[in-house]
Amino acid sequence: MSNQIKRILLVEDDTFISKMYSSKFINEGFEVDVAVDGEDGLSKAMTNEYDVIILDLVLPKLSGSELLQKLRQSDKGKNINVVVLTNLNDVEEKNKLENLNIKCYLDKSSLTPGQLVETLHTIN
Amino acid sequence: MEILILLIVVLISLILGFIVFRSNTQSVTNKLFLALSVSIALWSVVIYGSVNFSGENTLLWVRLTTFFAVPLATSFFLLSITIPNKKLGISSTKLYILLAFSMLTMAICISPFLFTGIQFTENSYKPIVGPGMALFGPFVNGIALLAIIILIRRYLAAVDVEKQQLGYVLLGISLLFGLIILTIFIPAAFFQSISFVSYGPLYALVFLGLTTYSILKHSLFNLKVIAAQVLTIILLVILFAKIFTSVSSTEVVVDILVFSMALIFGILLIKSVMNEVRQREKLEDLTLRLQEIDKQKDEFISMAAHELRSPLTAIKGYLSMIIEGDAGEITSKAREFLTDTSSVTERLIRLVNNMLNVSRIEEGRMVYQIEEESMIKVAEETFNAFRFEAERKNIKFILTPPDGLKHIVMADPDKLREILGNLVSNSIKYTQEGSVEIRLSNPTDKVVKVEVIDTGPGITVEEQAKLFQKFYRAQSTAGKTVGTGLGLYITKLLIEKFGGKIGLNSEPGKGSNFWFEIPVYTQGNEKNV
Repeated sequence: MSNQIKRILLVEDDTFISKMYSSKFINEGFEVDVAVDGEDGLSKAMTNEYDVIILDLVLPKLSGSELLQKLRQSDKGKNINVVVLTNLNDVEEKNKLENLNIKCYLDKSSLTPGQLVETLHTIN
Repeated sequence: MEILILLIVVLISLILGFIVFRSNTQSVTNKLFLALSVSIALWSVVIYGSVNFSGENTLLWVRLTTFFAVPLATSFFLLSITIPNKKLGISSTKLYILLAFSMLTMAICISPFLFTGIQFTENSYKPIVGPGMALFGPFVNGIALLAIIILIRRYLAAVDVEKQQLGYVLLGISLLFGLIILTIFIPAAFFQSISFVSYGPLYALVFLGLTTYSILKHSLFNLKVIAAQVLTIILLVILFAKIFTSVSSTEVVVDILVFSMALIFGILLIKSVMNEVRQREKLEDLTLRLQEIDKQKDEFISMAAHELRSPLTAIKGYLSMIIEGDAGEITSKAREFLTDTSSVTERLIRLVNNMLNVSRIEEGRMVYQIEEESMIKVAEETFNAFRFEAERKNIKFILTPPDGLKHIVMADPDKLREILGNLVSNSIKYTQEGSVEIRLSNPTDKVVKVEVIDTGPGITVEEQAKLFQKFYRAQSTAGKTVGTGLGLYITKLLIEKFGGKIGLNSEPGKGSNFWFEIPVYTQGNEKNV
């Protein structure tokens, strides 16, 4: 695979969950940055290079959908891969992401970290 | 005849004023409407007086028509900046200035400054205008004009219900003031003519009627109800007046009897009508509160779902990582315990999802990731997830996918696992010995059928009928009542969402066979899910 995912930005405010995913990603050989809220996530996404952003929707300061909107308006974030990983299973929330070009909308509680890694391998 | 018109106008004005006021005594709009109605009633009386009681008091009557025109214009101005809101449209300082100015103008109206005297002609009279007209004219006409301009501007800016409400008021005002200015003020001020003055009270009803409609239409009152009250009172007034026009004593007795009957039935009618309105108010109020509570419930469930799933995600994730070796080697006993913990966690997640998703699924707000998925894969994953639980209970757990099965479906893979998980979980729960089998087949080329066959206690026909209902929990066969009664209901909703059907074959003592069928997906044959 030529375009394999290597650098991941994980935007997740729950530290137990972000620690869990980042340990798994590191074990699997990825590089991971964690952002603890929406603003942090946006500034990291605008300054560093990532192959994929894993985005929670319910976030302090800036919600996931707001972050994504701002990201897509910038040149740098226009085409970056975004995977939404959330426990918010609501059509209204999902509709907010329409036209924002997300790779997939994943239900956090039905995936194990191992299954998430498998999904990441299928991107690109 | 003119006195009757006056009586009707005064009565209707006052009735409408008090009905509107009573419908919401706290609202400034309604208070101002009452003030305006009373002003109109008084104004109508003095206009009648100025026309009919000519003589030495004529000058006083004419002055009174201008005197009462001031509160009329002032309350109209305040109403037009406020309607339909509950709070006054200007600050209280401005209100006091306006009121002070109004009272000054009223004082001038009854002083010799406005009309210095009166000049009688053959069958009419002309008031002689004094310097006070320089204040009265611009003030009354000014604020009336300003009020109309404000109303038009507010009407243009308003939306929905408020636009309609302001529209009715505007229509009423245009008719009323258009007629007054054209036929009363202009003739009186410029041509010293008062020939149309007696029509004044009638114009007012047009405006009052439309404004009442505007204020009450969107609150709880029924206009038919108001009409009934107004008509009853008019009828009573006419009947009462008729008593005094009777010529013979027999006629008087009959008239009094008729009036008394009408009075009794009128009071009864109005009472029952008031009762009905009060009931409706209560109902409307309750409905609003219910809607509010329902909204709060939805918000709560949405947040609760999210908050409960977060820690469950962490527990499930860490367990899976330890089992998969991310934390290094663990003993086989530890792995066994953790695998059990994992199964229980899965059950907990399923339970939480069932409870919290049910309304979301019912309302069509659930998010589905519809994609191609192998039913065999779903069955195998579900099988693996429940293998340990079955082993714990010493139940034979079987999955035998046949060769050549058409197994690709178009659905949400997570939801498919949830569906099959619900069925398998039930079968294992209710089966104490024997086996649970997941069987896959193609009854026709177009559908894939999944059966979960157990050797549990079986289900009676009566219970089978109720099994897929919301909150129904199997009782007689299981011997114990557990669960939320939502699993099978949600399973059914989901299966239907994916274009399939669900059912069961069971007899007490012979186990159960829960099955569902989903259309096989073939390229170009997309199912509308």
